[in-house]
Amino acid sequence: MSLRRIGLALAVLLVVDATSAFGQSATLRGLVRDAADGLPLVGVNVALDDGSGGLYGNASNLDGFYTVSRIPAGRYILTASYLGYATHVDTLAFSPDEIVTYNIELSTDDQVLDEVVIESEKETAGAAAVSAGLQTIRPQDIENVPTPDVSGDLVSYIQTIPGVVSSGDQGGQLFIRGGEPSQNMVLIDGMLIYQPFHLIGFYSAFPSDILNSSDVYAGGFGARFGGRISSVIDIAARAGSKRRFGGAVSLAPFVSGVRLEGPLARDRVSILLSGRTSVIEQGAARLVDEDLPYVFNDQFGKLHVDISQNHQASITAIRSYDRGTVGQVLADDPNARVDQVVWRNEAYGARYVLLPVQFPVYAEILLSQSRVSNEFGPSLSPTRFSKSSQFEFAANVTHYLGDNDLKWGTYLRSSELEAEFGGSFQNLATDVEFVTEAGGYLEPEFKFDVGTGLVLQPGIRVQTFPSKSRTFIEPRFRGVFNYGLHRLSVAAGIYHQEIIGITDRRDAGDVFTAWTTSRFIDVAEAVHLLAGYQLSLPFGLDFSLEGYVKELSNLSTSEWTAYPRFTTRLQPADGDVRGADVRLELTAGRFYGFVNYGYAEVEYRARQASLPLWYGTDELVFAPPHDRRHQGNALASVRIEKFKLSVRWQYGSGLPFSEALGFDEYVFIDGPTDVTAESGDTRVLYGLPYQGRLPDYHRLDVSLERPIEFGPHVSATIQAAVTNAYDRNNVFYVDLFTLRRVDQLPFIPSAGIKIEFK
Amino acid sequence: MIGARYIATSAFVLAAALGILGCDDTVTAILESNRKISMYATLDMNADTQFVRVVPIRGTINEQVDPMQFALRSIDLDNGSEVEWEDSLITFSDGSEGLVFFAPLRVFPGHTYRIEASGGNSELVTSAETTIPQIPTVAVGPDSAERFVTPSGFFVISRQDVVWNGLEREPLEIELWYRFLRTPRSGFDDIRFPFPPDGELLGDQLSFNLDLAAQRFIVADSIDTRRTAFIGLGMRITILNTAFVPPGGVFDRELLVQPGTFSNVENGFGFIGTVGRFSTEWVLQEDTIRLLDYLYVGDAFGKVDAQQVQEAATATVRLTPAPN
Repeated sequence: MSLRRIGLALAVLLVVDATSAFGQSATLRGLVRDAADGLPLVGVNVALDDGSGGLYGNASNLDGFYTVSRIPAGRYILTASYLGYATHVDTLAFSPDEIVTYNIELSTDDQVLDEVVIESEKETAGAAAVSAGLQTIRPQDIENVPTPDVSGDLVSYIQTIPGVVSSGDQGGQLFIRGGEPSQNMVLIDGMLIYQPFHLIGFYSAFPSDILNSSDVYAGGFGARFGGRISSVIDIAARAGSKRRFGGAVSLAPFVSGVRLEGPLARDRVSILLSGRTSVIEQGAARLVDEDLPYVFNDQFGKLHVDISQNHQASITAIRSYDRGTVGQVLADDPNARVDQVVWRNEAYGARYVLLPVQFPVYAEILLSQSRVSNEFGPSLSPTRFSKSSQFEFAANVTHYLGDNDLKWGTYLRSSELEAEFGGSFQNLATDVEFVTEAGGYLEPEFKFDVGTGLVLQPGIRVQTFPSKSRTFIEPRFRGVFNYGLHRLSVAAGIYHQEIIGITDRRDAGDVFTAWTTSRFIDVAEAVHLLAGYQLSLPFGLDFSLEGYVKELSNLSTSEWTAYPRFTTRLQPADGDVRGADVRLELTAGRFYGFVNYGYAEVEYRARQASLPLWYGTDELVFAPPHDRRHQGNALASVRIEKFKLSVRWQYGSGLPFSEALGFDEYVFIDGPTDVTAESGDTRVLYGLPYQGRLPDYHRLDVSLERPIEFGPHVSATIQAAVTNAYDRNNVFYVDLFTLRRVDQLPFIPSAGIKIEFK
Repeated sequence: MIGARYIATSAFVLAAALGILGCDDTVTAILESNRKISMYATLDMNADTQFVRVVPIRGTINEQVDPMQFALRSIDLDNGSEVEWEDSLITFSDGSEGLVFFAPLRVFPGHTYRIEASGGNSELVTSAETTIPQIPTVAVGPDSAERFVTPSGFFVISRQDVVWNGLEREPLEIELWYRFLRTPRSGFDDIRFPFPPDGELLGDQLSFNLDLAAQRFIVADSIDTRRTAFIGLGMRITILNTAFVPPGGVFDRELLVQPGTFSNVENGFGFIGTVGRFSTEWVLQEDTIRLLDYLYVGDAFGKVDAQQVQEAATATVRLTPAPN
């Protein structure tokens, strides 16, 4: 679709809005905030009751905005309800064609607060509340997961989701329902973050106390998102308090951090700053008396401005840095590789949100710049270097058309991809590439019997790459049917990925990623299909079951070669992912817990010229190294007196790895050869790729927290935790070249303290 | 309502039980195999000493294997002669070391040799059988030369046929040289042709029609043909044995490195090939030499010396005969 056509469509939509605005119905909209700190509240149900059975309503979005449109003129009782807050009630009268802006402030209900954890009522929030692949993670969810740090981190919770496979305690690689890390899109406030997960698996660039909420689409994501073929993690960062200054300082053996926030202009402008740095070498490494050569840090800042009742703006900046040697270097192995990997992320963005006075429309405009750089090799002279940057302009608009919404958006992206390699790497030349991408999407949302009935969300996304002469048209569909305690959901879509990240997956210890454009004529494509069922029982028990299929094609995988080196070539591959998740969540008084189980099968089919020679087949069928067939998580969190005890046990069946017959030196003989002069090249004598399975992975983590109040403005939380409580020798990976075993982290006791002031 | 403490306790017990159940954490990364040794060599018909590189297959990339525990022997399957080879630890130019066995051994055309390596705590013997290319025949045709006069001067046409028969495959290399002598007691000066002559391969026959007149100009660029006596010509072909056929027909290092894709070694990996080198030398007629404006050897050294020189240097097809 050309930009001209998109523009024409926009004009038509505005006319539709104008028509609805000047019809006989009124529109109510506004902002819902916490009375204490002025922060927006997400998922607040705002309902209008005309007293005779007529009910109209909507929930506040991530910015706290709500809009109820097509309200017949008359008097209504407005209620704004949110768990943990006192319900706000008022009476409003609407005239025909009127657009009323009505802001709401909710105060916490002290009686309720003592008993329950405040929870957003977003229907996809909760460990068992997955809906067509979407699960929403709230900061309070994260705090239930035991980690060796007082503050939680988003990735620690994501790893409890069935279908999410991590490279382990080290490596910073997440595979979501069969998708590779570079096939997952991670956004914060609409900005792309290329590689946000830190080298130590407990941490990402997203500490829980900067988060508002995070939507994890494990597949089947809607038309708003594109450019990745596996999943989307869409994070909304919170703004700083607009009414009072606050902050926190935390100290723990893995990470220590600082957070500051407060109003720069009361009720108008706020700032939130957060910084963390690893102290592993000084802390955790001494606890376990083991080399843990990891350094990472992250910084976050957000400036938020309420320009007026109808306008908001924010500027967000985030940086992260990782450096380390993945896998242990054995002291008695002087020839072991000591290559280290370094990566840096940066993203800066501005977001402008407006509700035009004349139209029942919610619109956001985003400008962002994201960068990532990767290095790999000896610390002083890295042999590989790759960097990527992306500038993006995007506009997302929601039209409230009574029971139905119409969402559309447009975007323009410009990427610069650069790589330098010592020797060849994945047959990529040293190069700089510029890629421009433009497109848009249209996604109406049809609601039947608001709140309890059917919601259908068909969509279409168009992506075009002028410099590549490629255009993709991607149909999407999401649908939810609520019936009493039951919910059925489905999602489907076609996805393409032009800019890919390439990692040599033959060796789990090699996490260097080169970002480049598709290396083959056809770009990577995925077709997703998901279907799920959810049951919410009234006594706090939720159950869900979801099955999924992903058909992958035109993937770029490492060419299979016997040379024990990281410099190799690519081969095209197709793949299938099939799986199902079962989740059970219980909230009972002071107890919260969930168990889940995921079954998944990932199969790749690779084509390579040498395969017929080597294995006698044109196609190599194998389970890639992230094919974890069985996975389970159990989490229990209970409040006992002033203490909070959290226990998490995780289980994963063994991951595939490649066995070998051994090593030799290969002397290339293509004619008369003086074997006294040719030393030969060291070679791995592989068996069939990925036919071996590592032992099962399981680990128990426990943490005990106690908050201490030092007055109305200062409090502290002290925590004691153990990671890998029964000291399981979990295998991280088997080194491809030395075939030596590298283990995950051992039993680690830790203690931390966090002091907060507000 | 379910008791919170009961649930927490149950979770602990469940986790602990599962932890105990799944306690097997061993990894075996090396597959059992009867392949213990890799061998690499090209047995060369022209060499009087042969070399075989022996690489013990090891369990880790840096594992040190004692080279002294290996032994190598060869058997000529056509006459039964056996040779025990000597081991040698060689330091290569890159500083690495390798085990190379050597033996004073001449290999003969058409003979098949079995190379056996043993040792390394293995009862199995790693072996390879390889056959030296069959000896071909060669026929050198009569040379011809004719001078043509034109208004602007003259030119010479001179050609000669050389035909090789019984070749097992296309030669790897073809060399052609012109031989000269400055004085009766100096060594020969061989002017090797910078590019191989065009030959036509038909079945097992390779034919050349040499353009001696054209080659004269190229030779004259390399040597003073007025002061150096022309002795004769020579041609050599180097031919690999028939096992030297890579999958796909191309010697691609990236493909052939894959274990087993280009190997004739049993109970191991690697490749042992053979090389046949066959040469012939001949002289031209005196008239042809003069028409080509070379210095005739009789003019340079007198008739007696010239005859001795030519007998010593040329006029024989020198193909190594095979023993019984």
